[in-house]
Amino acid sequence: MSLLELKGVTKQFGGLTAVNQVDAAIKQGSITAIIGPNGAGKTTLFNLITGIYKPDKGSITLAGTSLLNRKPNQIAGYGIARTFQNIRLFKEMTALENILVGMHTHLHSSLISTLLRLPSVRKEEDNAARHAYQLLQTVGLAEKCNEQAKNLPYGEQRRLEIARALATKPKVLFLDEPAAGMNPKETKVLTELIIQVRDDFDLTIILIEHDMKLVMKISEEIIVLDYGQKIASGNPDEIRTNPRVIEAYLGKGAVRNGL
Amino acid sequence: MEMSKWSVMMKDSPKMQLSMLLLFILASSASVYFLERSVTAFLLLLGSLLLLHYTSLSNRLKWIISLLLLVVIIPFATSGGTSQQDYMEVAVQTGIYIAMALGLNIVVGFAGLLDLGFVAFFAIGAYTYGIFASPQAAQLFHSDFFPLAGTWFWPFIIIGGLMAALFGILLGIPVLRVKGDYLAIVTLGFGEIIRIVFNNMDKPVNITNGAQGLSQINQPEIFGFTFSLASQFYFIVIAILLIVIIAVRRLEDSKLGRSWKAIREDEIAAQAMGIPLVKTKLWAFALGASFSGMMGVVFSAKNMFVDPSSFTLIESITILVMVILGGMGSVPGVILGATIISVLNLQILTEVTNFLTQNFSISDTLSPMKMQRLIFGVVLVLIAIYRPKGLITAKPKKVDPGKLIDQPTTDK
Repeated sequence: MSLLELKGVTKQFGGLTAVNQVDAAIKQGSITAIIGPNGAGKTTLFNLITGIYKPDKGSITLAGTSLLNRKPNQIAGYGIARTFQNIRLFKEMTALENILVGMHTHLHSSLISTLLRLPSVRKEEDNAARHAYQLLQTVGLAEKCNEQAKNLPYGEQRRLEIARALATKPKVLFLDEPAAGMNPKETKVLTELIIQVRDDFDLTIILIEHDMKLVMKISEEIIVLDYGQKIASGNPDEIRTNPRVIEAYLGKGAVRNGL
Repeated sequence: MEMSKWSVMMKDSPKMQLSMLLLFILASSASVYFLERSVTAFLLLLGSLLLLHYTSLSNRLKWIISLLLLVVIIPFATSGGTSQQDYMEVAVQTGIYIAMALGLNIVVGFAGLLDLGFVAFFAIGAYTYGIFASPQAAQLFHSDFFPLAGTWFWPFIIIGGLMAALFGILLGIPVLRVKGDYLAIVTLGFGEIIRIVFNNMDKPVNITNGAQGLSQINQPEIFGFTFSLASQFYFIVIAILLIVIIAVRRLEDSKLGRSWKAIREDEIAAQAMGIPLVKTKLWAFALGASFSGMMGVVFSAKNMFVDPSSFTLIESITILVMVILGGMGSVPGVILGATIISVLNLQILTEVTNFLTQNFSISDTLSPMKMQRLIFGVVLVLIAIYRPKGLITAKPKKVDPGKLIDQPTTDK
């Protein structure tokens, strides 16, 4: 059975149908890419799954549990984490604090015990900080732990956002254009990081990406959206040769040049 | 050259700093003790707390010195002349404002929710004690049990805080649906509504005694001892203030404190991390309000009188100015901001006015005391231009990576 299932998901903004009757079944442990031209509804689809928007029609289930009519924070609690297209870090907070915020749902100290600073609270905070530091090590930002997020260079901000998402201990990780604005070298590091965290954290990863090299390299399944509709899905080889996808998105030149 | 060498030496040696600080405290407290009504000396003595903040002494030593200063040295130094009660009056009111500013700092500084009606919670605390500890309650309930004796003051500090927190939540539930500018306007409205309600709740049932206010409020009492002088209230205020400061410090670096800051920075990302928006914001409102409510109880017990005119919009603005001047989200900053504004309001402006009227016979309309709003305005403009993050900027918490690398305790 698939972990995440979408059936007939539809979202309209006024007269525009941003996402139209999209079905998808995401297998546990897979890396799935969602591609398509700008305005195809990729980020809207992410926002529908993570609860920022409510779908007009259709159903979304995670391991059999419906995600409809749930608040974003509840959906995060079910094990869905995400990064954002335009990086949404907590800018004034340090890298370590950003991760600690990500661990929110896994810290259980009550208000009273916090005010009394009971030993259990201290222990929990210490362990949390240690765990957060490990996550920073995972994405290679350990030495930046005391740096405010706003002072990190762009590529590091992207990686910090991934680490923060990992801190929520998700089952499914959504990455919205993780390689946007990165140079080829950074993209390569990122590609390895994505595969590594999938394996180490036992994740299912869904990403939106325009960098076709990255997409073709890491995805096992690709979903192509155009004008809100799913026009194709399949493994990289199938997508590469699909005439509708070439027409709508990839372009003939790209395929000739050996994608 | 000499000078810079000296300053480097000061920077590196906590011992030097400590001895200089103690010398400073000794000199300023002696001058407060021996000079009659010297505002300058008093300000210097208060300034030693600021100096202390900037020393590189250990946190524990800082706490010990500041406690000594507040509990022993300041009360003793001011007892030298005849004007002890004047000094203590200023100190008590400053303490009340600091607690309120720290409460507002949770809402505005940590959680980023602009609240322009914060004085309402102070009013709720003040009226909670005022009604039950004055003849008003006897009239209202037709019972001899009221007015409550002064010994009830102590539990009422908690009750006043809880009442304010309750109203914080009641206000929060409808209000937190709106954001930013709209939130500011709605809270401003709430502040005014509370004041006007208190002003008009004398009919049909007389609960608050309307514009005449509540008088003959019982003073605090413990083991037969009645608190009536400012120098006695001073210790109550210091005790509550210490609890408030410790509470804020602990909240700041807790799960809840981080959630507040996360919401302030980015609501959508905070939600995606599993943080419930409304609940977290309500906690900010409730906890911030409770500090204010506790001090409201002290305020009404000290003045033995409350009326709605103490809770006007300008009070809310004053508290907000304290937070902005000191530095939003910065606990030491807010304490400094609250101290500067209250001392300016209560002492400096009065002194300058006295000085001017005695020596230059200026007209009453030009007296600096009447220029309070002008001064606030100028302060705000200057801060916004030159120190937008306040006098003491909020610093993110730094950790020592060395302590995080190894793993002595096992996970889970």
